[in-house]
Amino acid sequence: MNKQGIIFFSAVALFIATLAVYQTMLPPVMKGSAIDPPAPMPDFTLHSADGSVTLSQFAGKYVVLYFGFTNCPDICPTTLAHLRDALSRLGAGADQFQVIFISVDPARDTPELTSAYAGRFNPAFLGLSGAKEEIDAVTKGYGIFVQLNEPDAESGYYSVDHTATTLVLNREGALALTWPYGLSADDILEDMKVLVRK
Amino acid sequence: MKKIFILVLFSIFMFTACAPAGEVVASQGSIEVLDAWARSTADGQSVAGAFMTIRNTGEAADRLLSASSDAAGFVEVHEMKMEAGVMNMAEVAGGLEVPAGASLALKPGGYHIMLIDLNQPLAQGQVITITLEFEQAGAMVVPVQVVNP
Repeated sequence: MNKQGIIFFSAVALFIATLAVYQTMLPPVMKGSAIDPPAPMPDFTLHSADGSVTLSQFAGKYVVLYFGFTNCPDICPTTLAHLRDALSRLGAGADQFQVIFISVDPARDTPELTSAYAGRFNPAFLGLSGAKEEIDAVTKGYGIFVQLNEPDAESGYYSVDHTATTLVLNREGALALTWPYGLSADDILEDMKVLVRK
Repeated sequence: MKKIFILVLFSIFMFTACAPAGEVVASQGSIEVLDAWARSTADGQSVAGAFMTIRNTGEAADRLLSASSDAAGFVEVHEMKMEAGVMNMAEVAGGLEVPAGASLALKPGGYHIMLIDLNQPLAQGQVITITLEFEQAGAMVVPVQVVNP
């Protein structure tokens, strides 16, 4: 190869290497919606079957918050099952995430029932409930829409309309990412892999 | 040799792709029900959703009018909708049409059979029965497999 050829190929190699380095420096594309800069969120205390739980006690971990109700047949169990599946595939990094399920239906969901419900998906999942005023303060602080429907004339069953987005708080308790309903366990897993590296 | 290998791979792929969507668990007249399942429930949980695919092999449309079960006090056909990130769920008015030659999927994120006032918690491995009432095919009993939540 002549001298010109060597220079040409070196230039091409350098260009490719620069591109590769640049790629790794770009922020990773998340499947959910990243919030940048992360938004500080209010602390709260609610109740599990085993006693009071305060959000700030999980500082240093990612907290995955999902609001729902135990009499929800579809979207709540689907979301919790996706979170469980993603975490089990994540393996070793799973202990960096604390999943918390918060009831938006405290009239029916006692702390005992809510904890039992969440724990059936994964024993490490926390299920929290509380007095209506306590729940209202948390949903308001976190921008979660909740509306109780009229009870059915026959069965007395009522459904609760609620925001179905999962919130991810970073290690400092600030809202860093949201997962809309419908994201697959695989998509959630991809985002979790990015988060554990941070 | 390589061509044969590719042909075999291609055939496997096609067979897998063409495999039937699921197992028929009940059929009557032109209606077939496939893969019926419900999630197990916790003590104190009073409702559960059941999911399945309903296939109409006939040449006329049919309609799922109502459902009942000895596992629950009330059974309703519900639809879940998402509006601006908010989940909303309501009973389907007037039943669900199953068009001729078509399949209707009752699956998470759409339609489900709602069991209200469960007589006892649903345990994994258990099989409950739900009776579906169709306008044309009549009443049919569907075995529903209870799986992990």
